Amino acid sequence: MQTQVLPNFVKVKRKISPAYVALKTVAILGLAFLCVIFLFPVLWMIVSSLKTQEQIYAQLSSWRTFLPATWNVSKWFVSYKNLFNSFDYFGRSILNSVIYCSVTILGVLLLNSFAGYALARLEFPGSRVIGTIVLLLIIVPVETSIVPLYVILKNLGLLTKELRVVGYLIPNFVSAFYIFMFRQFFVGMPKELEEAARIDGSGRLSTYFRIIMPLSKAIFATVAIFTFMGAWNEYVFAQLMFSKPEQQPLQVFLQLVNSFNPKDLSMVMAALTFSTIPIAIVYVFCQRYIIEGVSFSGLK
Amino acid sequence: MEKAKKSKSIYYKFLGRTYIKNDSVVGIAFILPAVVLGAIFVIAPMVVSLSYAFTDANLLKLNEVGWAGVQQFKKAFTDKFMWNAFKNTMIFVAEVVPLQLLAALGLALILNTKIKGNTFFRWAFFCPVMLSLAVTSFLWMNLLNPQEGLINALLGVFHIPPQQFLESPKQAMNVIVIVSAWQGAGYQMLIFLSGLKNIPPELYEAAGVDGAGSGTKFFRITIPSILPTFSFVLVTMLIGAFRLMTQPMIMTQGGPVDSTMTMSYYIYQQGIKYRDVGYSSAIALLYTLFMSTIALTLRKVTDQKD
Amino acid sequence: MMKKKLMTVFLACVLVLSMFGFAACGGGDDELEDTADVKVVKVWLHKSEAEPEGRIYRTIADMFNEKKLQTKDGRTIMMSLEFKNSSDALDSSINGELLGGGLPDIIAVDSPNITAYAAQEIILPLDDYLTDEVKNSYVDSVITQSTYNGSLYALSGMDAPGGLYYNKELLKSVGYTDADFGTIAKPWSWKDVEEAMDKLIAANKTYKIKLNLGFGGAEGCMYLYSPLVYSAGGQFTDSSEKAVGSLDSVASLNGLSMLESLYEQDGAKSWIYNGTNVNAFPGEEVAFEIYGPWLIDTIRKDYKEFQSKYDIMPFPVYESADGAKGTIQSPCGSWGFAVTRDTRDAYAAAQAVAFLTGVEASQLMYDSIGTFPTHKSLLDNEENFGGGAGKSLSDLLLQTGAPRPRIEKYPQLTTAFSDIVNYIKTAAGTSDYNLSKYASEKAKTVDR
Repeated sequence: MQTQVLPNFVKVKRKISPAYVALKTVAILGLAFLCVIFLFPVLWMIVSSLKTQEQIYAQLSSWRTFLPATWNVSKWFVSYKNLFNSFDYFGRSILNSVIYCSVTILGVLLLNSFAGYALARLEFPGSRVIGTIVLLLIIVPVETSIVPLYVILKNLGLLTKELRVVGYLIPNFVSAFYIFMFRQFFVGMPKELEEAARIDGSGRLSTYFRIIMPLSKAIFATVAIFTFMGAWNEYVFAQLMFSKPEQQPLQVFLQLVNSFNPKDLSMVMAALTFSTIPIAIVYVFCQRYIIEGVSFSGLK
Repeated sequence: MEKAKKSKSIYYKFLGRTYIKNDSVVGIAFILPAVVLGAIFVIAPMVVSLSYAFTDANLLKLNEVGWAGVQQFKKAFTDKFMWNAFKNTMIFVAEVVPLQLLAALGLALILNTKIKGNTFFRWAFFCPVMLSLAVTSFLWMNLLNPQEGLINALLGVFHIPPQQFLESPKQAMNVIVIVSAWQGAGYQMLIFLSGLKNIPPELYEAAGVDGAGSGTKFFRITIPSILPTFSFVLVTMLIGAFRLMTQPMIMTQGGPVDSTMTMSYYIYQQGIKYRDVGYSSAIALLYTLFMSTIALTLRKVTDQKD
Repeated sequence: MMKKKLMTVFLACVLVLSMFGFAACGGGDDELEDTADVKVVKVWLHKSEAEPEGRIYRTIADMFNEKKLQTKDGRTIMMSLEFKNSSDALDSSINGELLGGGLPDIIAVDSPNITAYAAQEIILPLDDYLTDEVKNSYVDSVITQSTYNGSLYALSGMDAPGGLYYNKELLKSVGYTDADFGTIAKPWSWKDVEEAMDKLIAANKTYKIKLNLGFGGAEGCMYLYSPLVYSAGGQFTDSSEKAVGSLDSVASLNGLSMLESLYEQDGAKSWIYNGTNVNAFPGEEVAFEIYGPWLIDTIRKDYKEFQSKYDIMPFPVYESADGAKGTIQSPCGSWGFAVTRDTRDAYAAAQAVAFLTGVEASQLMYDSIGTFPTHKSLLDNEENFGGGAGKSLSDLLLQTGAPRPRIEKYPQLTTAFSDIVNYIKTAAGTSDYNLSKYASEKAKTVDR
């Protein structure tokens, strides 16, 4: 009996029974339907950005709403041109977003990994207390609305036009969650390697950069991705902090495009599409790290 | 003699504990930046918020703050619209968490089978995650426009009468639930997928040898194996859902008829728009207490299972 | 190996980008800056430059800059505009700068917000910087709405009286005569409007009414529909600025019941227009429209043949069950400009405010976007206000203009009122509908 299981299975696969075909068809249809659900808004967004507003509305109830109105590629990017002509700072806002994200990632990786390492490997007065506080901060979800942070930034003098960017960025540099993630990772790393390096006369700092960091790519990638997603998505705080269009990140700037009067739907879609390009590039090029990073977070 | 002297210089005692000098210096240097920033930007806002909760602080008159005792809390408990915001948030949590969890798990299970075009499907389901929350909100706001949106046009093709969506108090929150799940499911799908991939194939083979059917395999092997992943995703998703704000802020501003006002948004609105820092802080404190209770209970339950 | 390389490349990119970022942040921006002989006055606007109103501000600013007015220390005042595109965006920008000290010299401010801003010391009194001659040129309503604690805090170059646009021709076709239409002496009530719509329905004519409830966000609701409450003798707050007992009083609810009645019967008659055509009235898709002055200009320019077919009557009044009519109250008030506390030269800013709202600007805005001038000398102009819809509206403004409430907690009040009106819109006629309960809960949120 037992030996029959495997050959049987193989046979079914070869001899295509009607039931199997039906099942497979249903599965494929189901998958296709799911794909449609997930993709049609995105597809529509992209296609609509290539049309004029009139064309969008005229073709709304026909299947042509998912196809470009014309195959003359030179006429596709009119809305994009309008977008950049109407909003001097649109390009700048994308750049701002990229810059804010990069700086945040850099700050987060450095500060939290240092702290995580200190908590994992070194004992010093207060290390236990700090470790406990970090744990508490993770477990207890505190509703710190932006209001007190805003008051503190004011008292630190970080709300002036020049320092606003700093005031926007540094509050995000430290996170108990990331410190904890780093700590857990470093605790699990074998001590022998760094001890060997230390015996060779290498200092703590150079050991850290030369030995520890290269061995911890997974955790660095994970934290970088988490930070990237958080920083790229930030809307509420950015919306409060930046009243100057030249400082606004993309997410806030989109509000400006969407509330533009008279509204041009095609221009809005162009803005939404264009603003997704940078993040799509990041995802395509870093997909390996994203999958690794996301997986790592789930395994904790 | 000499040895003892040397060790004395390496170690020192502080409050009854012995530490290595060098370790202490390096450790403190490593952790100091994080501690300083954490104290200013994580701890201090909590302290500020906590202390404002007992005052009548106004955002524009922070120099003239008066003690209000528990007055703000009393107000909160009789504030029908705070309870309404609380109710809305709970509805959102109760709907979005199961929906998104099951969608993510289902998608991951599909992708875990060896279907053709696996990579394509993974990208397709992950695609909405690439749109930011703001892009998602603006996009769906336009798609769901009752008069000239795509969705009503599509419904029209199937002879379904046009819906009000975000303009109907009955539908608005459900719409936000669906849009949020649509945007977020792909991300948790990846987490589940890696959890599934980490199940050793030997387990299934062994079960197959024992004559287990695919149903049995699923409930006896798959489910228990990804349970830790599942509880992790559950807790993070729950906390995230409790803090819903961006989507209603962009799509409905809390309306229509307060049907999408959430706790975080209400707290923000009281503090910034109405400048009532005292009241805003009081509600924030109450909400923190609530969320902590839930989170701690959940962690206890899931930890026991592990 | 590949992995390591990729990671290095990624980190390098991050590094380079952030350096670039810091460099870019340090770089100067191209807006006007103060110099030894130029004083720049910055203005935040609630419009976009693609809108006619936005373009008018640009024209006015250019005119101002050509004048080369001088500050007290002899520098040339130059106006620089920043378009925030919407009142919501302007609002959040102002909120973001409340503690930051980065408010511009001048902000656009909707008339009822003047009191709230003045009470919170966001804007400054202008009395010391303006001559009496300048102040006396404005109509009284502007001065009244901009005065707080005896000081003048803002000025406005336009007013926006509102009323009921009606299609004369259509109504005459079902038996109405010129003498039947509402006037200031003998206004129509909401019941009269309903009756007229019923007659139009019976005659199979265009009959719908466009209510413009979504116009201008929460504030638009207060602007167009505060007369509902006033007409029935209701108030928004009492003398101590408490909304409980006023906003939810019997009189106020009576006023709101006019709108309620429209929506309750809408299920059967579907007489409320809910399309999106902004020109539904001149396009003859509807027979009535509640709106401000902006349509007059559209019709004058784009619907010339419609010009003689319509007129504007007063905002319909309240009518009780026994047929007693309420008082006439007309929507009015509009955006003005105020000098903020963060200005570095209040005198220069005040001159700019006076120009932005002055006779020239007021006339220009009337000519191109149809808002009402706010200067006595301009309203005497026979050509524009001697007859037709223009005359109807200017009479309404001068005789029946009902300014929106002026209280410190106006932001809360206007949100509450718009919520109440939207509650009627979405819930009237459903089983769990209870307006008085909802209104009293909302009134509490204002007082808190």
